[in-house]
Amino acid sequence: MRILMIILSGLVWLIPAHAASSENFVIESLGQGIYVHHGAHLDIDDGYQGDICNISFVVGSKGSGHRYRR
Amino acid sequence: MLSVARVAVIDTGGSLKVGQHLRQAIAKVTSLPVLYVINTHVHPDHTYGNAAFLASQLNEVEPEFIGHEKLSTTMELRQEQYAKLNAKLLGEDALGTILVKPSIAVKSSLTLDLGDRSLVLTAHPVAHTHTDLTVMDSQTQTLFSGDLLFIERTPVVEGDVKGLIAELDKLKLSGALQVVPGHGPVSQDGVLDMKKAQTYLQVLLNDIRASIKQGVSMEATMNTAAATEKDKWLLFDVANRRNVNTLYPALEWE
Repeated sequence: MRILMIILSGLVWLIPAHAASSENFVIESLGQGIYVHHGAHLDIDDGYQGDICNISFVVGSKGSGHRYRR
Repeated sequence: MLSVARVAVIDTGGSLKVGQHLRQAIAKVTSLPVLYVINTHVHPDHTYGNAAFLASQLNEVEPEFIGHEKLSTTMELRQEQYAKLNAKLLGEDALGTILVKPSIAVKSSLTLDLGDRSLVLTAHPVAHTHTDLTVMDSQTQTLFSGDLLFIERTPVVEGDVKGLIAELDKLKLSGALQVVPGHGPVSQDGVLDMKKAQTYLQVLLNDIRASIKQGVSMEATMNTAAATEKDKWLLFDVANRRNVNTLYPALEWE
C-alpha cells in the first residue's frame, strides 16, 4: 500500500476533458515542424483517462545516413 | 547516403488510445514515419501511449524507443503497480495499454538526426524522478523539459527536491527560446517560469525542514508547508500534500 501511495504521489493526476475521441485530440503548431498536444488540468477524482501531460512531435526533413550519435 | 526524413515523438500519453490519437494527429500533418519515440521519464501518463507505435500497430518499421539509462529497469520494477493503476483508472482503455521499454538508453547525452535539425537529449541526475530526460531542438532552440518544469500547475517531486532545483538552474542556462513543459502552456520565457517553480520548491523545502526541526508531524505539515505559494498554482492542495508525503520522510534523514 505504501508503495502504491509513493507512486501515486509522484504522478500528476489530472484529467482530460477531451480524451474520448480523436476528433477532439487537439494539437497546437508552434511553427517550424513542432507540434504539441496539451493534457488537461483536472484532478484524478474526476476520472483519469490517460491524457494529462503534454505530448509533442517534431517533423524533420532530409536526413543523413546517421540516425543518432552519442 | 540515403536521405530519410523523420519524425520524433516526445512522450506518448497514458494509454494506448491516447497514443493512437497522437498517431492519427501526426498522420494528418505528415506522411513521414515516426522513427523515434522519446520518453521524458517513467511516469505512466507519459509512457503508456508507447504501445501505439509498436510495429504491430503501425504496420511499418518500428521506431526506436528512447529514454534515460535507468528508465528500462524502473519500468520493470513498477510494471505491476502501474498495470493495476491503469486497470483501475482507465477502465476499458487499459486493454492493450502495455509497457514498452526503451530500445536505446541515454546515459549522458544523445543527438538524433532529423535531417534539417537535430534533437539533443540530455539525461539528468535525480530530480522530478531518477529517469528524467530533456530534449532540445537545434533549429528552434525549443526545450522539451518533461516534468522538470510545470507551468501554472503545482510542481510534483518524486525524486529529490534539491536535485530538481539544481537541474532547473542548469536548464535556465540552456539558451532555450521557448519551453514545452511536462504540464501547462508553452513558455516564451522559460527562465521566468523556472524561477517560479524553484521558488515553490525552495519554500516547500524550507517549510518541511522547519517543521521537522520543530517536531511538527508530517500530517500537520501537509496543511502548512508552502502555504504562501497556494494562490499561485493550480491543484495546489492535492499536489502539495503529495509532495510533503514524499519529501518529509526523506528530509528527516538529512
